[in-house]
Amino acid sequence: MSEQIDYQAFRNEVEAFVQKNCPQDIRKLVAENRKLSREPWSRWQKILHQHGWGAPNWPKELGGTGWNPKQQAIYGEVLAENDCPAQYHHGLRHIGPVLIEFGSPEQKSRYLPGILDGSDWWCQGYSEPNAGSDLASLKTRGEVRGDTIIVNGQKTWTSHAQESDLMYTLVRTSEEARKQDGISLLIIPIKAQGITVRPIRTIDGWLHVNEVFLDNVEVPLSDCIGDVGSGWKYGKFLLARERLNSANTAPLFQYLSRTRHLIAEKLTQPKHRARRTALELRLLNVEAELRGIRELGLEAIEAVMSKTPITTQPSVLKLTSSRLYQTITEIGAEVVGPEFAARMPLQEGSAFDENEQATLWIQNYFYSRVRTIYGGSDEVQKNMVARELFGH
Amino acid sequence: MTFIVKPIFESEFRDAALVFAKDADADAIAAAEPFERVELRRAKWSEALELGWAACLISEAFGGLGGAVTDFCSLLEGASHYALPLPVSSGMGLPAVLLSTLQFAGKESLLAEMAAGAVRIQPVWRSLDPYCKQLDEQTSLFAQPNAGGWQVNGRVAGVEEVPAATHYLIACDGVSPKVTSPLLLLVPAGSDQVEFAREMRIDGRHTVSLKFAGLSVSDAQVLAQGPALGEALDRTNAMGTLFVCVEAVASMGSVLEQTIHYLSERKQFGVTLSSFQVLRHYVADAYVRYECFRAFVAAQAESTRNGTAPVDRDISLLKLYLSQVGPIVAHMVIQTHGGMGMTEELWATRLNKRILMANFEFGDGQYHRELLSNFSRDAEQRA
Repeated sequence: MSEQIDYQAFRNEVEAFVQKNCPQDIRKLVAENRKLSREPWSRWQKILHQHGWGAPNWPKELGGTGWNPKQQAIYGEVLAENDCPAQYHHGLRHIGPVLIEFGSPEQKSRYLPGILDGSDWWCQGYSEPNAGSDLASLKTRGEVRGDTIIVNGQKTWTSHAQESDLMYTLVRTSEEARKQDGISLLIIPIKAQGITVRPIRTIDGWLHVNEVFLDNVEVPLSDCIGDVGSGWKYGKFLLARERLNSANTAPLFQYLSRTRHLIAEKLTQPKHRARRTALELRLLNVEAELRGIRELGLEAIEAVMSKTPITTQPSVLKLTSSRLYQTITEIGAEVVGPEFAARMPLQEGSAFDENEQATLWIQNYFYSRVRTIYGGSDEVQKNMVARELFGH
Repeated sequence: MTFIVKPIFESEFRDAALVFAKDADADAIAAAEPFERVELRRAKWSEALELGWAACLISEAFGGLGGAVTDFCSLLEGASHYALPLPVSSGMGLPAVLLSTLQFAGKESLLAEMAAGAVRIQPVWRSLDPYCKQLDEQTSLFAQPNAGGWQVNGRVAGVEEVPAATHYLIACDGVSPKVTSPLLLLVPAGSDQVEFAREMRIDGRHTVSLKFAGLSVSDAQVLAQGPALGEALDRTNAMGTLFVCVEAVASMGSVLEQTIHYLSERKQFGVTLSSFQVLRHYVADAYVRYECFRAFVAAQAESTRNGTAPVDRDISLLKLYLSQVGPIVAHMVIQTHGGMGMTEELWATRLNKRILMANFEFGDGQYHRELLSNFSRDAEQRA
């Protein structure tokens, strides 16, 4: 029972474990604001799994911890506070809960263990060139032929497809009057015959999203999750589980702290005084807002714990945390930009002097722009808030 | 069903204050002439005293209601829903906070008379006006020892007026040959040695500017002095900052509710204004800021529920946040109301002006940024 949980003791336990067991090289990657790839993430997942913490959000009987939302929130906070990576989300937080809720016994036994121990890596095939925010307009076709579905089409903005084993993807298996109907959720191995992955270089200079082309890909009907044509329902279930992601503000506080250190380290000359003061004051504005969003996040978690309906909170959290993350990275870029904007490495690994560290700040500044676009753009979130406020 | 603001602090105080403030608002609209409004303020202040508002933060041991800080916040929340133009915080809450903290002869009877509304305190203290304190030596208020007591000189400007005050509670610098330290005096109101002028704040609340020209004060009228008083004044200041944030956030919730209702009713080009996405997004933007500020205010009030002093740095962050959120909400309201947003009589305008005034009380955003910078520098030096 949640009343009997000593949350401070729980926090201490998590802190002691991660400080002792999260490898220094991985913590260094996080502390330097680097983009994580599969290897360190997977290694960290294995360590957590061996300790029994592989799936903080799953029920105990399926290998999870059985923690309540407040424990999960504390766990997420402590990880961030100690520069440990948050666990890779596509398996654990996205498709895992969908499989647990709607998957067949065979699908559960085949796919859940690989998510838990980090041996299978997943990506999400949702967006298409003409179906982003308007996802229900997706055109990738799935034609049911006996016990096989033949898939043709194109997915885009597919994060981590270049290093994944499996893709959960929405395809249209029939044309219905309501466009949300007739969509199915399939599991497709990324190495399947007929799949081509083409990386997209984004404005941050990184390669982390891809186009995925599906050309007559044969998917066994047994890899369709739930009922054929009901995929939209499962997709919505998945999104609903993600609503309070932005309630964890600890990563933002960490980023704020790192940016403060950057200012203190780089802007030390008398000629920097005005710039230093201006940037420090902007960070104070950010800190004030962060305190507000932190309290709102805690309120929202308490609401979930007490089964009080959640209304606008997820959108408010997402909108605010995205904007604050962008502002912090803008400040970081303003610290290093005058000297290092002209000294970006020509290619990865071609760092010179201290430009690698500095240019990470600029790369993260560019990367941060996506925060107001993905996961429901700012405009979509505002529409949702407005609908709640105006009642229509 | 459009947005209805949810109570931040649920209590009977809030509900009673809401009804009271609504009635007062209707009466104020009916009172067209300035002199009628002065009389109305006095009458409403007396009514509020009769309802026991002044007793809220006074201990039951002294004849008060023994309410928690959050109870008083709920009272302010209800009153601020209609931007009640009475000095509930400065005339009732803060004197109770300050005097309850101190030890002095006659404390029990003074607090009991305040709780009953027989003693009506007009605060006269510069510590609650930090920006002016920094700016201008001319605004200083000080007391020097003379035979059998003290003599007060100097001035204080723009202090919120307490209707029909019976006493001045003066916090000033006690300047003796050896040391300067804070001094707290309680003197009857209405002395010839105090020049008095009435003015008005941007939110329509009345203020007084007081000039002291050699006001004689006996030792018996000194309630407290020294470092303990300084700490009590700082704590009162922090509590006042929290209270003004509560008032502001309550007015914000109310003005959002009112604006959403207006946009849902008002038609242009044959459709309601609420059908235009750009207006819906303006409102959503302001609401998002309001929600985060509301959560911060609620958490800060909760942390002081049992009389714990607010943490200075947290209070400064809160006030800094108000300086960001307040104008965003107020300006959105003006813009979305169009020409109507520029009119004095609009209810939303009264709420807006309250929000914008709150921004300047107890130090504005710039002031608190400076304080926060000083906190950071102090921390660096300690490290």
